[in-house]
Amino acid sequence: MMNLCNKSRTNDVPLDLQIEILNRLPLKTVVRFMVVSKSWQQIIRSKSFITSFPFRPMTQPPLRFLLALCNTDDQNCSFFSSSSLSSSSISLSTTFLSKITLPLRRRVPYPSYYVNGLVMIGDTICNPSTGKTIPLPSLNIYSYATCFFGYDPVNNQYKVFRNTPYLAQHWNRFLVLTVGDKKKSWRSIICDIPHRPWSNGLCIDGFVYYTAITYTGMCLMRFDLNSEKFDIFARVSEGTIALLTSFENGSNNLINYHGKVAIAIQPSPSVPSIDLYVFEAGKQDYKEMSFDNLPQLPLLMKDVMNHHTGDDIIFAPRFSSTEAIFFHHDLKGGCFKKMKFEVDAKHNLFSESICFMGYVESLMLI
Amino acid sequence: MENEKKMITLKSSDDVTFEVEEAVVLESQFLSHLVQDCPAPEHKIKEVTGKILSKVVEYCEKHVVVVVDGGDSSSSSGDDLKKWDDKFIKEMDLSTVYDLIAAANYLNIQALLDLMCQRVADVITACKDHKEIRETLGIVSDYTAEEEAEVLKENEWAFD
Repeated sequence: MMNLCNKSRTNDVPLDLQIEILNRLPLKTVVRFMVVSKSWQQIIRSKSFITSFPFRPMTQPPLRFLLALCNTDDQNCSFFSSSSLSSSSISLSTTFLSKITLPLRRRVPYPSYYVNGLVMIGDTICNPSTGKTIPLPSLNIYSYATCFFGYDPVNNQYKVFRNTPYLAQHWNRFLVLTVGDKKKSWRSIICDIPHRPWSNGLCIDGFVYYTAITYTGMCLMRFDLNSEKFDIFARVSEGTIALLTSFENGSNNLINYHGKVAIAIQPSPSVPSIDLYVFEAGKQDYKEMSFDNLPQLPLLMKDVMNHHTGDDIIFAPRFSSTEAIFFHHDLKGGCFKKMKFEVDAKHNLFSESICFMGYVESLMLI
Repeated sequence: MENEKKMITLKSSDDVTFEVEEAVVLESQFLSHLVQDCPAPEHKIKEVTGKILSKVVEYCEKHVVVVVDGGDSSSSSGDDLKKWDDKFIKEMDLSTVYDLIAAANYLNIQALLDLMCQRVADVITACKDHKEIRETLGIVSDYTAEEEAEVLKENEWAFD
C-alpha cells in the first residue's frame, strides 16, 4: 500500500527514493497526493518531509520575489511569486499564489516578515504558497508592541516574540509563541538585559537581531530562538545612535549583508541618500557604503544580492499604494533601475504592496 | 592516441552480456569501484536484468560521448542531450522507469536516477486528481470514506 508502484513487481523502489520523487512534485500535487492514501498523508505531513520539501538541486535556484498586496478596505492580502530577476527586462511577471483574509489596521504600519516560507503580517502568520493562516492569540491590551518573527533550524520551529511596553518598567518581560504549538498562548519570559526594541528584526541562522535601547545605551540585541536567551551582540556607534534617534523621521532597515547584520539608514525622508552600517560581534558598527542620488523617496534598502560579478542591491518604497515596484541597483554599473511587478488587473486594487526576497514554496501548516 | 580503448564486459542477472568501453562504466560510481578493485574482464551484475541493463548502457554511452565531445560547444550539445533524454524517457512505460530507478540507485548513476525520478514526478503532476493518481500508480486507498471526505475538504484549494 505504501508503494508508488504495483505490488506485483519484482524490483521495488526503496521508500526513500519514492519520497524523493514526491519531493520533486509541485506543491499542489503534493497536497493532492495526501488524499491518495492515509499512509502517504502521514509521510507528507511528517516533519522530515516538510523540512526537506521542495527538492533543491545542487545548483543555486534563481532568486524569486514574494509580493504581498494588502487591501485594508476589504481586509485581505493576495500573494504572488515572481519570475527571477533579469538584467535585460524592466518588469517581472508574477504568479498568483493565494488570497487570505486578515485583520489589517488602517494607516498604522504593521510589522511584516518573511522567514523560510512563512509570512507574518500584523497579527497573522500565513503560508503564502497554500493560503493557510494562523492568527496570533490576541492580547487583551492593545499595544504598540514590537513583534519579531524567526525560524529555528535546529528544532524546525517558527517563533514569534514581542515586548510588553504597556507594562511600565517591564523592559525585561517578553512574550514568546511557538507557531503550531498545541497550547495556543503566549509564554512569558524574563530577559536578563532590560531593553526596548528600536528597529525591525532580522532572522539569520536561528537568531533574531534588532537594535534596542538598554539602561546603558543602544546596542544590537540577539535573541537565540532555540534557548530563548537574549544577549548583546554588538555596540551601536555614537554617530549611528544620533541617526537612529533623530527627529527627522528617517527610516532604517536591518538587512543581511553577506551573512552579517547591517542597518541601512535614510536619515530623513527628504535626503536622497542611504548609508549602510555593518555590525560584527562585540564591536561597534562601521560604515560600509553610501548610496546617493536615490531615484525616489522615501526608500528602504531591502536586500543585498551576492553575485559573482559583484553586489546587486534592492530598494523598495517605504509605502506604495499605487504600484508594485522596486529599484535594482547594480553596484558595478552604478545606476538605479526601476522594476515593476506585472500583476493581473483583477488584483490591481491594493492599499499597500510589500515585497520579500528569496521566495521558496513551503508545506508548513498543511 | 585513443586507439587502445579498454573494453569491459557486463553480464546481467539473466546472462545477457554487453561489451562497453571503460569510460561508459565510469558513469556508474558502483561499477567504477568494481572495475578498479577487481580487474576481471567480465563483471556479473546480479541485481539488474538484461532488458534494464541495455537501457542503462544506452544511457551511459550517450552521456559519455556527449561529455567527451562537448568540451567547447557545451551549450548546443547540452540541448541535444536534453532532447535525447526526453525521447529516451517518453518511450518507456512506468514499470521500466521503476526498474531503471532501482538499477540507477544500485549502480549509483545520479544523473540517470534524477532523470527517472523526475519522469515519475511529471507523470503524477499530469494527473488531474487523487483518483487518477491512484489509477496511474496502482495505489489502493486505506482511507475510510469519511476520512477521505475530510482530508479532501481541508485541501480543497489544491483541486481547482
